Amino acid sequence: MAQLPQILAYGIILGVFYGLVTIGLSLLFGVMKYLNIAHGSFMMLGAYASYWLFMLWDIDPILSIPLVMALMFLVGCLLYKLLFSRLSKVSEDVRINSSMIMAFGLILILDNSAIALWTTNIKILNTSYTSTMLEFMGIRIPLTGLIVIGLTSLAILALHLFLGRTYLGKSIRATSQDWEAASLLGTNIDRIYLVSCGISLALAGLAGACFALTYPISPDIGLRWVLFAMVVLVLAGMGKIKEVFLAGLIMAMLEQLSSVVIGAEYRGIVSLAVFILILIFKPQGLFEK
Amino acid sequence: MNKLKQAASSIGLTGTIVIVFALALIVVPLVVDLGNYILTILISLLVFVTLSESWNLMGGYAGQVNLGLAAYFGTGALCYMLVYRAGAPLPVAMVAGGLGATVVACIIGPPTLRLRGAYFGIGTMAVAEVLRLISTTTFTQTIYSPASYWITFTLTKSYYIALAVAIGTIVVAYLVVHSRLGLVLQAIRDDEDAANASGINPARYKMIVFIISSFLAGVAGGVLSYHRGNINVPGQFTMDWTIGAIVAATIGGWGTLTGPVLGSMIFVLLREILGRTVPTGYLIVTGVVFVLVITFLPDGLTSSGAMIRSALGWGGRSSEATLPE
Amino acid sequence: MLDLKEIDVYHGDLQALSKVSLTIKDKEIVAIVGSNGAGKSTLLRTICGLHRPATGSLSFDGVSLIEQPVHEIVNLGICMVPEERRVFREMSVLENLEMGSVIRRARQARDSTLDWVYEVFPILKTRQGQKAGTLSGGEQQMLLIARALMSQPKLLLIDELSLGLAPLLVQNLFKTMRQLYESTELAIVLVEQNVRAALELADRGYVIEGGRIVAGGDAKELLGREDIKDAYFGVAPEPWATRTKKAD
Repeated sequence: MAQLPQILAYGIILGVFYGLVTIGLSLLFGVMKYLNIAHGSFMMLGAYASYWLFMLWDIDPILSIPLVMALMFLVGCLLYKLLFSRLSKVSEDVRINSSMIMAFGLILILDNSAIALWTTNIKILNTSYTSTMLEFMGIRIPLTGLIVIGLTSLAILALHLFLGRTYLGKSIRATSQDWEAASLLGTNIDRIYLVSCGISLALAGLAGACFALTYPISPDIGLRWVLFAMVVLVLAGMGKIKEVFLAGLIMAMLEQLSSVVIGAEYRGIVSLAVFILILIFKPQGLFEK
Repeated sequence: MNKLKQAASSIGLTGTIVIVFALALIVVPLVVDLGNYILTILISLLVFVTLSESWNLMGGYAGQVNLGLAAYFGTGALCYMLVYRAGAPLPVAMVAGGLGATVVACIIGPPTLRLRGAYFGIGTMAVAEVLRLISTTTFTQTIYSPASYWITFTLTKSYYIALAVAIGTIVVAYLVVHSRLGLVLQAIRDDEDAANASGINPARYKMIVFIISSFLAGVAGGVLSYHRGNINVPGQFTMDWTIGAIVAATIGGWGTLTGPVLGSMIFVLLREILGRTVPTGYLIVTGVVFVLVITFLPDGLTSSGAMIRSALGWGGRSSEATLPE
Repeated sequence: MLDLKEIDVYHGDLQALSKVSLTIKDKEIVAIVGSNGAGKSTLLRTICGLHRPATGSLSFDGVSLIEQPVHEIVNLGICMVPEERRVFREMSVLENLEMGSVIRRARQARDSTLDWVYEVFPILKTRQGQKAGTLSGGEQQMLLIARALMSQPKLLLIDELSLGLAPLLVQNLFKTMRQLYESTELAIVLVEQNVRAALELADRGYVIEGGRIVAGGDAKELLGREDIKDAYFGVAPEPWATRTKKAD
């Protein structure tokens, strides 16, 4: 099995990707108990933003990331203010259902607007380095893969420091554990939710930018990838934030290894099978004690 | 005349309108030639009614949001076609479609229904997408109906099949809602923990209604396949059908029986009017309307149909079970 | 300082509080006692802004609390320690305490408040790096009180302090509460199922049953009343009856 290291290498890159796409979703769910199934569609927006910034104004897609993230942060805040805040008063079960339904409507709007604006044709972002392949001990690794790993590592570090060291970050963690107790101590829950929504979408924007570097983009990527994200979310344990990367890696490895056995087109079955198995045996996710 | 009035008041204004409407749908095409275009739209409408009513049983009454309705629709279409081609008579093929969908439900139901709503949403969505992916690789070619079909098919026949299924679905929904099952489901929807504490096993009842709901969606798949004559399998598994059903049920008012009908009409209307201009434009507008409707329901699961009804000035109490405030 | 007049609170269609009126003065310990489900927690939660009263008035130092969001009410000086020992389990003791001083004036005084809190509850300083979920029940209760104190409240509301704790622990905690009270400008409201212990600690008391205030006055007087003794002390085999909702 000479391909094994190669498969593993691709698995790592894919796993990091899964984690990156999921982290924004899990943050929002952990803090607010909203299942934003439109998260993938926002990632798609980020990908297109990255693409057009490059095509129209020659801004390198890596350099445009802060801009894309800032824009998406604002979109997230807007999204909260206009829509998601209406759900904050209802009970958790109703909120989960309602947020799914609401996000569903957003998918309709976002995905179809993308089709209307940019057609269903695939677009590929090509810079001087996007096709570069590196060779390392017999394994071929795309340069963009390393870039994505690098960017994601930065993001993980930044998130870790933010949640662990800053007051706002700690307030976010406290709110996600027990919002009522947090509010009884004076935390402004509305503001916490607003910021969390912004951060969630900013992370979606980052995922989109990384996506644009690595894969061809089209309006349907949102729906496809949010599905992966949701399975990774369940795998990690809904509400867990940091564990999604490990869960993403595990899932990617499983997919990669199984694609050798049953063929790449049936990748989706692996995610589904994993999903069902987890639900039957360990619904709280892999990392719950 | 008095007896008529009595009957009408016991059913309520909406109920009466529904019955009159249903009668019209049955009788008018026999008398008037509506033409292919209108009949086709009506068939499409009836399929959406069936789908949205079946979705509503899960979503509006049991509180379980099924995001992958397409899985049951598509499986139904496929099973129907395969059984029909194998030589079975039409009704048998239709039932086979429903049963095929039920099988899928039995796979994803048990693990997801005993957990909170989010898992069901994710699970159903995953199943639908996976089935779509599998079907893209497995069924690359269109499947055609058997020879007997092409000889016996008429648009009118297709219309009445669709109508029968739609009416049947509403009847089934009515029976479920007004039975003990319906009460239990609403108790579960309103407070699953409380229901659990009073000795009800929520998972079991959710599973029962899931089987019913998926069966109906599967039959709807068969109806559409009959109408089309051939099916491009992957196309039956796309989100479009889920979208239509959910939008129809939500705009029209979930948790009511007439809501999905109303919503389906609005959805199909929007599609016809706007679909002419920009192909995806109607979806965007639908999405906007959809989000607006959702946003102004502070409790999420309140009947939007009641809002629309009061906005249109229809007051009137309906006999069906509506959601408490 | 705190003034409630004719408060009605509904949970859906059920009336949880009916025509409740009471006052808390600037510096006193008041016990609100009654049996399980009497409405005690609802009362506290209404004061904090988690429930809105349907009718009646509720004011603190002259400011109406009724339309205020919860975090604003904390800012005004009311802090509640909720029941069920809800610490932030995944966060350390120190982080929990930090979360107590979110509001501005508390944040400015955080370091000095922290030192003081560590003096009152030395065990918390020892455990400050540990995750709050690993603490024992009694320590968690101390953490909750300390956390609430970090917000520099003028009025401290404590919901079911004694629930699920060993009698000795409860005695100690009550002693600490008394000391706290005497060394600060704090007013304390204790909500308790443990009627005797609460009334022994407090200056004044209210008895609430079925959502209504059925008795009120000096704590010692209430303790001596025959009807109170019959209702709450007569049947229990021991004073510290095991009416716990959640074992530790």
